[in-house]
Amino acid sequence: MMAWIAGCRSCAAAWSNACLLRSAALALSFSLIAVLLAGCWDRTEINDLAIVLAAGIDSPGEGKDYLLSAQVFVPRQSSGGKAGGSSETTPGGVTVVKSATGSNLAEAMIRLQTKISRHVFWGHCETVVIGENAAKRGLRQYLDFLLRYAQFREHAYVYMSEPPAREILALLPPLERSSAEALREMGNLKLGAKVTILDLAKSIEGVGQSAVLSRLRILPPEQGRDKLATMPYMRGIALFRKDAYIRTVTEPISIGVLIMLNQLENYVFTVKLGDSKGFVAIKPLQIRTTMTPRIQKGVWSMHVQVETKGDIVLNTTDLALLAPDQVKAIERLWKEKMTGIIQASIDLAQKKLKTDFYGYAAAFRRHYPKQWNASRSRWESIYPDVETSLQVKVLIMRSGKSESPQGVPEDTIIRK
Amino acid sequence: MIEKGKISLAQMNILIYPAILATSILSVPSITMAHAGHDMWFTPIWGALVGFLTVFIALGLNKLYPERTMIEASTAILGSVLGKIFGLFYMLYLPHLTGVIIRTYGEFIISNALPHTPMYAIMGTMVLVCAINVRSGLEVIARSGQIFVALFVILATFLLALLIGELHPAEFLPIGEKGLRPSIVGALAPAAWLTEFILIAFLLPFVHNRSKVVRKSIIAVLYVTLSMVVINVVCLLLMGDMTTSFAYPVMIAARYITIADFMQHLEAFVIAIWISGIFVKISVFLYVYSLTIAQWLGMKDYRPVVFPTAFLCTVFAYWIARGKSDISGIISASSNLYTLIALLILPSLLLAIGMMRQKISGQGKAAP
Amino acid sequence: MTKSLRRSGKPLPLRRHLQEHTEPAAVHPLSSHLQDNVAALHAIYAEGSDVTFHAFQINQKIEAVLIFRSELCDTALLDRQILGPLITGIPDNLPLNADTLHRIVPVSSSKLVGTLTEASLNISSGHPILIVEGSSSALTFGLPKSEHRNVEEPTAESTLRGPREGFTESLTVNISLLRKRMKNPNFKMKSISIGQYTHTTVRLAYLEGVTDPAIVAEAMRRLSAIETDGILESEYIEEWISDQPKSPFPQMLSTERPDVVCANLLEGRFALLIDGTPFALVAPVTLFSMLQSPEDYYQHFMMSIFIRWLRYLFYFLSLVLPSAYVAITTYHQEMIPTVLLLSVAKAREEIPFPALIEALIMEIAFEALREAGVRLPKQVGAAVSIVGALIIGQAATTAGIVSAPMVIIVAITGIASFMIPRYSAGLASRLLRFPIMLLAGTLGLTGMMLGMMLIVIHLCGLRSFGVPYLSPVTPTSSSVWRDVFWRSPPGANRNQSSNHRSNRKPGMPIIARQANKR
Repeated sequence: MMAWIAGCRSCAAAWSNACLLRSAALALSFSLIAVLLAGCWDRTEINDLAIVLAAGIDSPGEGKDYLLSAQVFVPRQSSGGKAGGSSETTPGGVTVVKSATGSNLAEAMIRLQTKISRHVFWGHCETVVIGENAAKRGLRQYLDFLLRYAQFREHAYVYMSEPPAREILALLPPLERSSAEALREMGNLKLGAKVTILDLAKSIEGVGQSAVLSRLRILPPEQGRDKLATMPYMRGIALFRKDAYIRTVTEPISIGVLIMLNQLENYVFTVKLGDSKGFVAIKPLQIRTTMTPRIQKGVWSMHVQVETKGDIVLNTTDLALLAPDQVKAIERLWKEKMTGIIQASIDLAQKKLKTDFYGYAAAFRRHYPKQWNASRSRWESIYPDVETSLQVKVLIMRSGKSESPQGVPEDTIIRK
Repeated sequence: MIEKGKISLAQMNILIYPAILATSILSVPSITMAHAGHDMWFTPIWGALVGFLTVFIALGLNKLYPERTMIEASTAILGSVLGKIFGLFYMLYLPHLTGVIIRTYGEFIISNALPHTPMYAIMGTMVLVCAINVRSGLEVIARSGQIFVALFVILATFLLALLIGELHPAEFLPIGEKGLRPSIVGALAPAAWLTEFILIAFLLPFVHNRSKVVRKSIIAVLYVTLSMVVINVVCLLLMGDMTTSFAYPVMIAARYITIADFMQHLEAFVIAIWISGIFVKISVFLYVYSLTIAQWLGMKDYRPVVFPTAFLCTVFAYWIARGKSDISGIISASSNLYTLIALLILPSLLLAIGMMRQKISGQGKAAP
Repeated sequence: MTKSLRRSGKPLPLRRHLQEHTEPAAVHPLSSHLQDNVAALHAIYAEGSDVTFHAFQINQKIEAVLIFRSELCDTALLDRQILGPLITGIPDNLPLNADTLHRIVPVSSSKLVGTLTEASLNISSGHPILIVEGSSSALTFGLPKSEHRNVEEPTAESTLRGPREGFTESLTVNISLLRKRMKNPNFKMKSISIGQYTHTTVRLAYLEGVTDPAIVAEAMRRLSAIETDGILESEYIEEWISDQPKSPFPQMLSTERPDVVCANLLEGRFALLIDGTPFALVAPVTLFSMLQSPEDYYQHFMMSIFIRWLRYLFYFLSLVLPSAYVAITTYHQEMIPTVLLLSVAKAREEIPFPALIEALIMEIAFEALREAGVRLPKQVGAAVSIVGALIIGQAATTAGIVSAPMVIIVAITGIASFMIPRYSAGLASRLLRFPIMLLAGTLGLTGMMLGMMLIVIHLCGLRSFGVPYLSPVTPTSSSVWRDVFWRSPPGANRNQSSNHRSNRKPGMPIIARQANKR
């Protein structure tokens, strides 16, 4: 190819010159091709790859080694999976988990490679699970490793797990190809906080110096099934101050945290009406949280406004939900409920944990750069005293397919 | 004249566009952020002022000697001895600059695509291809440039468009957090890149339609500046303050793209963008260097020196740095002064002397 | 001369001998003695020849000899139109020499020739020669009888819509097909005879006032510089006169279709019609004109635009798809969507070869099958393709020799290469696919890009009769380049050439503008 092009070029030159030039070009390009062909330095066939779908980081405790686990895709087993039948008792088995220990993650990774006969390929590692103990030791090392080592994806979702991360990776969910894929899909559905490696690093390195992650648990397997044949699921939100795990919040405060982070989807608020026996369930369609910082006369305050719209998905009261008054009443109750939840989560961050999870610092920095720079060093003492005013706006948009309650005699429905 | 081919004004500007952007697209976001902080996104606008200055110097030199490149003009302006010394400086500077470009390419490919491939294979193949391009003449350089710049622009736009969903406009704020000073210091890097517009002084003699050159050159500077601003803005809105912590923020941005779990990990796109840009850039600088040598030595054709020159530049690429961190040192703001001297200050001195001489000789002629 | 010898491939000594034998005739003018001339011609056609020397008397007075090759000329006409009148019906009062006969013989195309060479050339071309006692010139009659096919549908370029006529091997038929379509008197043709042995007639057709006269002159210059033994097909000429014969990219368009030739003439190109082959050559061409089909202008413009883009895409794919597959699966696995990677991994698990070798095997097998299919008779060809499809598609994957994704890639590449309307344009992508594959196998996508760059550099330097091969895209010619990506509806269409002409200076055709542009 090169010889050919070079040949053409040299033709353009004078004829006397051309022969010499052409042979020189030919010799050069042949030697180049020879060198290149002898090389193929970076070539790795897919057959020689151990494709890692998820990584898990565990640590038995302070001062001890780290345990790096990799969920590796096994191509052979799944291709021979034509004979059905047996899959009832043993799950698909398309992944295996390999782990190795090391005094740091890089060392553990090299040791992990020694245990696998193929080139470990992290380029498709889309899920990173950090065990609770490992999280307590601080995320710094993990983040640096994940953002420095070339193969890792910045877009991978990060979770924290209550059981060791290795156990989460070992699961073989009956529905998905692997637990990594299950976690990925759950992240896309926003069942919890959807945090990528880059997001995590940004929020820890940012002015807020905090982070939140979804917390994973293992769904107990159905009776008679293999104990691995189950799914991980998200329960609660793990809170991080600087890069270290401090505590987990569960519902309802975790919902407040998600609302404050603008990340809540897939949730239903249940509103109990005071006078009647039943309740109304409202599914919010969208929740928008905006934060407006203000510094007036040296007083730092933050105005949090939450706007939400929702549909009624269940109604066990006798209200027909047609009268504006009824809807207003429900809205009021819903608003109260949300305000309570959110206020609790704000108090938790500001008063109890004194950690800026919700990006107050970033907001102040954006809108009051001068003041922010002046009092940057004192932020930790300012933060708990920032006056937060919360305003929740709710709106019930629709009441679903039905208007009046179903399954009750017509007479009992309260129309007004 | 050494070069028989003629290019159009548009082609010249198209050649210069990637000659500036190809390397800056990767490093400018993090370098400017290191100095300008959050305000990095508008630093190229300050840089553009230097760009305009460079353009006017180049155009001024061309006005004095419309058919001569800067090297030819230098002997006419400074006399043969001083002029040759002036030329000698560029003979020594250009391989250094070209070497840095080639090495940047090598480092980028090694750290992002082919980590185990030896450097000589990566740089050697690229330089060989560029040398073939340069040997084919300026017309071919201009045409292949047009195609690869089109590719460069289309792919880059596509990439940035895919990222729109991931951007956080709130990151724009705060503007002018610490006053304007940091942004002006940060502008040194884009300014150093924009001084490469001095290429006009080398290429303009071969342009056949020079009537709108001032307007078109200014537009070219604006395009380059705009592109830098867009890239900086995207990096800022995606990564915020973290931009500076990455070696190649644009690469991280491309890796971050995930559209429907199908379009993902588009760093190969960045590699394609980068390669097509750097191909034009290396070709242009290799051409300018070969032309400089040929003109300095008074040769009739620059083609015989192309392969030796290419080899020399590759060797320089090895010499200048031990590793990636050395390269970062070379292209960071502190050593941009060196670039500024070579690409801005010396040409402006040349222009000043040339204009004075012209005035004196003009008066001399007018007097008798 | 050396070139022509190499081209003919015949052993040298015999060749030289033959030349010595024939060349002296070139200098001899005809003598006024009949016997001398006959003897000289007898000497030329001494052995193994089938030339008839028919001696007779004109008006039963003057000796004359009619010399012809009976298999090449229409003997019935010869007897009726020449021998008949000459033997009986010439008025006595006229001086009986060749000059007079030229005027009175009832044959429209008769001509006087003065040398032995011309005489023998005419005999070989099937024109009977009449030599008359006392005349130093001979008389030839255009009464050739040549066997030729009927005008049929072109087989290599078929269209769904559009004329079904194709060129034949006969030059006269081909010219008539063109003249039938192009009635303007500015449609000019220049004639040249090429080939020391074949004396093939080549006609250069162009539209005066549309084609750049400089290009026509250059083409004539190159044609007349050809020194060869014979021209049997248009490719012989193409290789002699293209700007860069070593380039795999065709710099002339070969077509079987008169409508294509006419369309190109209207766009300011010239055409070469070569006797003995149904393929006409058109030049100057650009890469983009090679990728256009005549049908682009015979169907609705939206469809044309769609097909045109599809064709560009697939032309590109036919060049790089296998390389991209090799590069991505062996160097950039992270680019493949995870789910796809997993299924590719499953499919590749049992394959013994590296992806590069696998791709090479499959591509070479595909090319072999394709060649076999083309060369074999139609009935056998079908069998070959069935066997090929079964072996490659089915057996090889089940046996675990090649992976299913590879088969898909090769199949798409194959389809892509069939989408290119010009067979000769497809050759370049078929050939260059292999070096790019090697580059992709050694340096991944970087190598692929380097390969593409070399191709682009080559294309940027390539010219077809002075017109840059990548024009009008680069160098850019904004008034024309829209047609590359767009087929405008009527009004701005190329065949409404008045539209082009309105903004064209006289004598400054479209192509010339492109040629001058840098």
